[in-house]
Amino acid sequence: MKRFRTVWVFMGLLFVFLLHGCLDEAPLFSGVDVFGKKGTGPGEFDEPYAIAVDGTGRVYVGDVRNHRVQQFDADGNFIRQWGRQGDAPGEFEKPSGLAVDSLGNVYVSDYDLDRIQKFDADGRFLKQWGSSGKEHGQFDSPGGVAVDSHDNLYVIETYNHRLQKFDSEGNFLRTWGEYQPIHVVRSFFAFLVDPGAEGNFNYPARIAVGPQDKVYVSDAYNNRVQVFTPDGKFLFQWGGVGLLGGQFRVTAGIAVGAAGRVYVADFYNHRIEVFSGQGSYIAKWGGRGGEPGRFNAPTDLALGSRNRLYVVDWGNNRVQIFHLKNAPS
Amino acid sequence: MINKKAAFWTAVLTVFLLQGMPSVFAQDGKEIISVKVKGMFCPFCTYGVEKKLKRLKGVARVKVSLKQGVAKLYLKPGATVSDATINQAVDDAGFTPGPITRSATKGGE
Repeated sequence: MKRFRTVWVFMGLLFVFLLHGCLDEAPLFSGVDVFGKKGTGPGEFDEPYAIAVDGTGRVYVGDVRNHRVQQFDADGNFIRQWGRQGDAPGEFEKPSGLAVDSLGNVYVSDYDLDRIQKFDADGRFLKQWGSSGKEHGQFDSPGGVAVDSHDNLYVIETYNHRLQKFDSEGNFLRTWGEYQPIHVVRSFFAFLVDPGAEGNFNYPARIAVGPQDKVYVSDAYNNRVQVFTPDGKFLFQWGGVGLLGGQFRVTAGIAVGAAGRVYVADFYNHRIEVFSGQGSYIAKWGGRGGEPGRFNAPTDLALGSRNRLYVVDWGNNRVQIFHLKNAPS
Repeated sequence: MINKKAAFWTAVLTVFLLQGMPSVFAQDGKEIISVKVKGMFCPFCTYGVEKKLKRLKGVARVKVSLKQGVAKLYLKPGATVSDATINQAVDDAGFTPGPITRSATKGGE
């Protein structure tokens, strides 16, 4: 009898734990704005995939099927665009990753052409580097890019399962990571047991740089975030596959606030999750849908001026602006 | 009254012509290959499959349907790509290849 009571108590606790994990918490934002719709005109998108915000608050979107980069003001008003389909300088096949350095230069990675292009803030081509391959300075699907406080560029490669670091002129500095998947059961229980595979990746998707130039990698198919020093030393990780708060079903875009708070696009759960700088779960919001505040496969996000979080809503062909209640801490 | 002999030969001729059509297209037109891609659910997946298949020699363009889980390869005129090559490319993209079907069109799609 006593054993049955223990089982029921355990089941009850598990139910409450799971229910708690599935509920949305009080929203961290006070309002949502939306810009963009499917199309080929200015301000329209056909599979927007990447986003970045520069120091003045201007927003850049990688518009994959339109083979271009579009620039907007902080409210989402169209300013300019550049690029067309092709492999000549200034052209794109799939502009998959975006980052802006301290001078306002824009770095664009191309998923298909395996190269990085550098533009000024007006979209004028400056330089490019990279080709297909596994050597230093070569790429296989550079899915995401990020810039540190010294304007070094970090490139995450989905198919080479590694990260490469360059200076702002494209000179190779270092690399780390190789293919190492985590078993799904081990991943689900990551909150109980160390999933291992530190420093290695399974189709990594995105990258961000936080305070002290810590490097945050969205290790997509290992369903986790890994954090490194700028030299590639593994610091810590969090996540695991699942539906609960703090778990993911394919991590996508990642952004880090000035004091280390981390925002992660949880691709298959169609939501955004928020963590402390040490990876402690704080909140989540979203769910699948086309209404403001809901998503159809969010692929990237970026923090902007005036407490704004910009999220690329890939399947809905739009960008959502979340007005955060407090400054991104 | 239909002449039975004429009807028989008409049917034989029709079957013969229908059978011969694809090979005529394959010579003058472009081959289209459909490959089922198992486990393809997201844009990362479609982008990867597209990339790996597009690089195969003889492939003019690739269209991936996420909904159907199928990649279609539109070949250049006169080109052909083996099943083994396609399977390897899908495998390189991180997925398991399924059945492959081939058809042909004169003007492309």
